[in-house]
Amino acid sequence: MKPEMKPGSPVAPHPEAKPEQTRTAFRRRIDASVVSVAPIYAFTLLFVVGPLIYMFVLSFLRRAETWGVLREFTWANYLNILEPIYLKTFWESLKLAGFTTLFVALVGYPFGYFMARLSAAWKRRMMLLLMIPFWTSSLIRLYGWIIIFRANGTLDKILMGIGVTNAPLKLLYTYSAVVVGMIYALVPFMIFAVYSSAEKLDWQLVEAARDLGATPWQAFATVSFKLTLPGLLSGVVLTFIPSMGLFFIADILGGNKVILVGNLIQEQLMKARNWPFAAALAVVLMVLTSIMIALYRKVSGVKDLEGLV
Amino acid sequence: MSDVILELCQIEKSFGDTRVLEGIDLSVRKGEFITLLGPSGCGKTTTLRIIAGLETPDRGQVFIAGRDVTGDPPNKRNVNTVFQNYALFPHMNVETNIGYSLKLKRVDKGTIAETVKEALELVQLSGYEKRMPDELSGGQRQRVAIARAIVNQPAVLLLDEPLGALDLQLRHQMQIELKRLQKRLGVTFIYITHDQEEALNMSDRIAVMRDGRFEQIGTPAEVYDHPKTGYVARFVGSANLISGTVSRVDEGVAYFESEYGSGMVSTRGARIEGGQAITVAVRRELVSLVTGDTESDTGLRAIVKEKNYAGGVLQIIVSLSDGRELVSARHGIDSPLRAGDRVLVTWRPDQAVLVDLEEAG
Repeated sequence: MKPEMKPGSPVAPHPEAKPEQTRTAFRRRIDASVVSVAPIYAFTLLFVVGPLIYMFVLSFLRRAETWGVLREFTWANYLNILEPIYLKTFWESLKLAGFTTLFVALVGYPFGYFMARLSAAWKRRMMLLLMIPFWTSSLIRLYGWIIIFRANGTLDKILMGIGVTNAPLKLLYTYSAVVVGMIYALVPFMIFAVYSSAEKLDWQLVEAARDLGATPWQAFATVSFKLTLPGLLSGVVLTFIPSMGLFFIADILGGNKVILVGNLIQEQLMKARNWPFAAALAVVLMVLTSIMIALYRKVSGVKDLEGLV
Repeated sequence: MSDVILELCQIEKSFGDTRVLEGIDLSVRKGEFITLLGPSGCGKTTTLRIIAGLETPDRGQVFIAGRDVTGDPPNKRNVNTVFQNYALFPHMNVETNIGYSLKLKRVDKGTIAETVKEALELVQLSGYEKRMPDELSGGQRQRVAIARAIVNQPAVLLLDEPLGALDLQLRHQMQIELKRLQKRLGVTFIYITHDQEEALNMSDRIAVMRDGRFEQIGTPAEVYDHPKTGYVARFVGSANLISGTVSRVDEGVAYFESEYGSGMVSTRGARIEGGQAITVAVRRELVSLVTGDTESDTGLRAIVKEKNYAGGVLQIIVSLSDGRELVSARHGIDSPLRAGDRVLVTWRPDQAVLVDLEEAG
């Protein structure tokens, strides 16, 4: 090496020295990034990608007579889904999820939107009130709904007490009870998603719209709503996907009358022990929801979903 | 007067226990450029918001073009605002932003496109139609905000410190452009700033605000040369204020004594008598510092404290016997005065202005 050549000098160093140098720098950079992201990748591979692949493979295998699966490739599980009874279950699930999402949006959007307009102290209080139910198991909270809904339960007593009805409504184990349970379970997610979006809304933009001639509704439609749409959309995704699979709500509040894909999968897996069929159902459910989200994003034209995707 | 476009009558406004405006009266003629000048928190933005309809006054009335609009919402008023931080809609491009008010009025698309194009030419941003606000520089956003506010042809355009976020050079340039634009459009401008130079440069009239009141309303020359109060003299002209007791009045000049020495001031018709306590304002560039003969009959005794040179102006700060400071400013780079020199602060009687006179007579 020539004496004037210093390592790391900004002037192009000796042609032979350069690759050596960059390689070490490169290796050092790799080391640092590997150390910091490796746990995340490891976690994802182990607990997300791995099970997904396992499930996918499982869905093409044949069920064993007694326990487990046989290593034989088959399409039978997927063909089985085309049976009308299973197709109907899918359709019912989609319908329920759609209903639930609609109601959750109708309740959660205004809630989250106006919550973002509260003073800092009230925001904290509301946030706390929304969090408190999560301290109790959701299963236990659902049993609370049974007390409310059952014949001569809390709701009936109130309604009959104030004279709205004069006989028990028999709400428990109906479709409506399931929808209410779903809304109850999922509305906080919508509220949080909309709230985080509405909190970032610059109120002066609404004033600017009003100043430029917009009525309150026009200002909302052209400015506030457009700017909080990402929150609403991620709220919809956060509601729609779980509502396809929340089998225990349909179980507890719907009795055996409402069977959803989630219930079906759970039944096939735990009771019928038909793992491959349960896996195939899960794969189809996953593909279906992915397609719906993709369609939804395409139609709504919103690229970033608040805190999602 | 028939050409009064905007009138504020006894506007009062409080936020909680804080009185923000205490009885504001203002009458603005069509095509006038009026500046509300005052420090932050003096109520100038609230005044603007009340004119725009974004705030409702507790008491008083707002008239626009002779019509009482006090209870009208912002969308029912023919005024538009250029907001301090521009408030451009981030999800709309420049064209949609500017055409927003026209689209609400259901103007047809062709006319909107044409009007937007003209507005962009006016603010020298032709060709920027499809840009999004976050792709623009501060100065460009400013221009879009102005274009958006003028396409609606408002009777009054409200500007809330529109140049506040721009750097000094751009501010000077935009001052000239705004003034030119206002002349060309003939639109009434109500302009808010805390920068006295900006106010003096651009306005037809200046309303100096203090604690929710107008301290003085007048042309830049009136406010600058003949401030009515010490506050205006200090805020607009950065003047020195000296208080004293009148010893005699002779041919329109009042001579007064203070604890630091004596001074004189033209009475300009004000009724001044011997023994009366007065305050005079003398602008920095009008005071002279005299060395040597400290036995001169008029002048305030002071000691040179420090010299600052900035932007072609030399500022000499002198301190009086009790530590109060006066400032002298003159063009030039240096002066023979040194810190610690004894000087006499003097001025011509016609260079001093009587301020804070009782309005009784």
